[in-house]
Amino acid sequence: MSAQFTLTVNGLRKAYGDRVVLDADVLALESGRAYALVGPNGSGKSTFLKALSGVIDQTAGSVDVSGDVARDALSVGYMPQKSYVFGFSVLKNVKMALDGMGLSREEADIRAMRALEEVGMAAFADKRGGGLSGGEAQRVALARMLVKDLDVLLLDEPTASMDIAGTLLVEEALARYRERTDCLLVVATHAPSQARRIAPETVMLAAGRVVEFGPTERVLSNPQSEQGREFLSYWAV
Amino acid sequence: MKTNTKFKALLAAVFAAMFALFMVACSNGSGSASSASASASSESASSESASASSAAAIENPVIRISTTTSVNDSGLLPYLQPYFEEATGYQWEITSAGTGAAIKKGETGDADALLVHAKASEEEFIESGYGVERIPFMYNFFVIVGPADDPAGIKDCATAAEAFAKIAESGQVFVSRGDDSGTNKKELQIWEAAGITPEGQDWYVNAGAGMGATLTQAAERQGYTLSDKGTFLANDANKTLTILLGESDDMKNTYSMIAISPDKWPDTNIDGANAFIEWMLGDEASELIANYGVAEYGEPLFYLLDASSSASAASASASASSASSAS
Amino acid sequence: MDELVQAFTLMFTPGSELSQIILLTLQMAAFSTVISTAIGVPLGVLVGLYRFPGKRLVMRILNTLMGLPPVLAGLVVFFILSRSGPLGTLRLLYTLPAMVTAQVVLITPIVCGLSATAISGVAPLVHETAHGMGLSRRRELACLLYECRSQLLSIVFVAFGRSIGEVGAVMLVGGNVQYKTRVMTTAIMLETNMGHFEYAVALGIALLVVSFVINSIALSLQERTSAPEAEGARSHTRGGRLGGERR
Repeated sequence: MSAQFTLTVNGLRKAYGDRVVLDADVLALESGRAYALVGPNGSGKSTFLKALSGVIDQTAGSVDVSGDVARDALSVGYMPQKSYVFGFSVLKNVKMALDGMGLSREEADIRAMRALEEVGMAAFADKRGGGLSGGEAQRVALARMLVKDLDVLLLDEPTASMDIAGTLLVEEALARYRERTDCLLVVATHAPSQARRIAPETVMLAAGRVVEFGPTERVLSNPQSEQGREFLSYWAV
Repeated sequence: MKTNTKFKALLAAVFAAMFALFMVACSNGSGSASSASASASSESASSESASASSAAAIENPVIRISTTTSVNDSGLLPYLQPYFEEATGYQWEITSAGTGAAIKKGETGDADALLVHAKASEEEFIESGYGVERIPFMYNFFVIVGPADDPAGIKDCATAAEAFAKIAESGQVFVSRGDDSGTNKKELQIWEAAGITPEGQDWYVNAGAGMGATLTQAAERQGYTLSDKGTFLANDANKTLTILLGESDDMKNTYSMIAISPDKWPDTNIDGANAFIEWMLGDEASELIANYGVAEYGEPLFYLLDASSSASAASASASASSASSAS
Repeated sequence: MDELVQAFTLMFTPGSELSQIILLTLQMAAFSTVISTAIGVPLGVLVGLYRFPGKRLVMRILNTLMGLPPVLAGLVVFFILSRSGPLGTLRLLYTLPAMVTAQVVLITPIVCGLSATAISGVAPLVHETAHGMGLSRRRELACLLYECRSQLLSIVFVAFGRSIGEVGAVMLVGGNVQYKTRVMTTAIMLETNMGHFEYAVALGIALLVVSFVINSIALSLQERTSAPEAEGARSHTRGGRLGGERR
């Protein structure tokens, strides 16, 4: 049973010079839940995740933690859109995420192999990271996330380079992981269909602003905002 | 999008600039050539000198003169150049290298005339048929230079060989050209006369360089070296080194001109080479050479050979021109 | 042709002047390369890795220095080491250390600039990835260097090649002194000046052969470079930290 906490986004803003790429006012993300982050290209999804992960510093605003866990005790994993798979072996790529956890070599091997199995990459364990295809690299990068027990997992388009079979396999792995760890998951995706499959709740961004927030089904079938309707019109079947 | 067009504009500007540079370079080349021929023809029209008629018929106005660094470093040729070009309508293209390479350019057909100072090599060159005739026409003296306090005590030596022996004895640094140049050859002759083998000695620095660089090195090391006087006077090394021995009989340095034989290299500009030799032996050049350096150093840097040898030189030039008319 | 054969025979005679020249050349190039790598790579990594005010200016200066004419580098070192220069009392002019110094001045900016470019190419990606995994800064740097290892290795050999083939600076500060500072390039210059063209060509070929051998070694090294052993950085790495902290 993991800790209960809430991440509150308060006027989180990121600007490069005059160009504002993110301006999210108030948003509360609850532990144990999964959120899809949708929106057109350039809507600020990646920036939002980067700011949340701390890889970039916000220009203004904050993300606050409330609940029975200290901010520094939270274990956060962030997988960028172009996650880098290093030139050494795939197994080692996954194992390096376990660095500093004081695991024995055997235990680390076992956990890394299990994570690779989860994403269907066990056969690649001894291959070098340099020669992987885009989809394979993304799965290895995901295994690097799943090998640990995280409190917060932030994924930026984790299946962008995958075919539908790979996508479904990864989504199932994610579901199993959530069942096991009860982590707070935020997945950026450009496809509403994926949002429906993985997350009961959805945040929609447009031009850096939060335009929709609520249960996925309601957001996607009955958007309140004009930007929301416009975005979804492209996906109407 | 905006930055993209900006970048393209920049790229275009760079290309345009390169193209413009290229065009300027081309037009400069042809421009100077045409202006040269123009000046040559105006020369022939206005001038009443004997050279005028020959200038009118100049086929190839460029004379490639290969000389040694010491001649070039002394500044003599650049000083004479405008006078020569005005008088004859020819142009000099001067390249300078060590004597070895300077003579080699004659052998490979890369020069029309030589102006060098290494008697033995010159005679060998003539014997192998590359040159028409060796025409000695001026001389100066080598000098031994060293630190003003003269730690080896060579100041009062009568000959260069004696001075070298003292330097060797004292173990003071001696910087050698080591480049097979006329000066280097002279230096080795002096060592031989002194009965010393300097090669491999601790104090003997083989610089493998031209006169200027060798002097610089000698000044830096506060050592001794053998130099031609002109280069030494023109070099900044004279601030820390002084002439300790000069004008002894075993340090005479004779310069000669050689026209490259058209028998070996039919393409050489033998007419130009002869015009060069003729002018250098003439009154105008003689006066210019005799005065060169007087204003600056209080004494001439070069002396013309006496009348008897210049007479033989004149006959030599006559034979050179007969060789050219034969071809 | 005879001279060419003669030159090559000389080259493989131990104790001959030519083998001494080759040895000295390699010595000089090795020292220059090691020192300029030791200075240039860390500096290049810093420049490539971090954003700081004036970084663009630093990159521009580096790029300018990368094209520094060797003679100019030589001249600067010459003035510093000459009798009347600030370090004249060290009596370093016309010695191997002087040549190495001039080459370090010449090569370090090249090593630095190329390393900075190589590093900055992958640094943002590696940083995002490493941060997302909660890797320590040290471990991230190790991974970054590992990813750039073949580029860095070829930079080292570019430096070596530059050093071994450079003539202007070493001529000025080394003085081309026989047995002391005469290296292959200055020997080629000298032989050319003396009109020994065949000998000069033979030396040139020898220089090329040396370069070829060095480069072959470099390539096989590059192919063999394998993953460094993992050494865990024992710090805060249970996971990444949350961003967006209130400031």
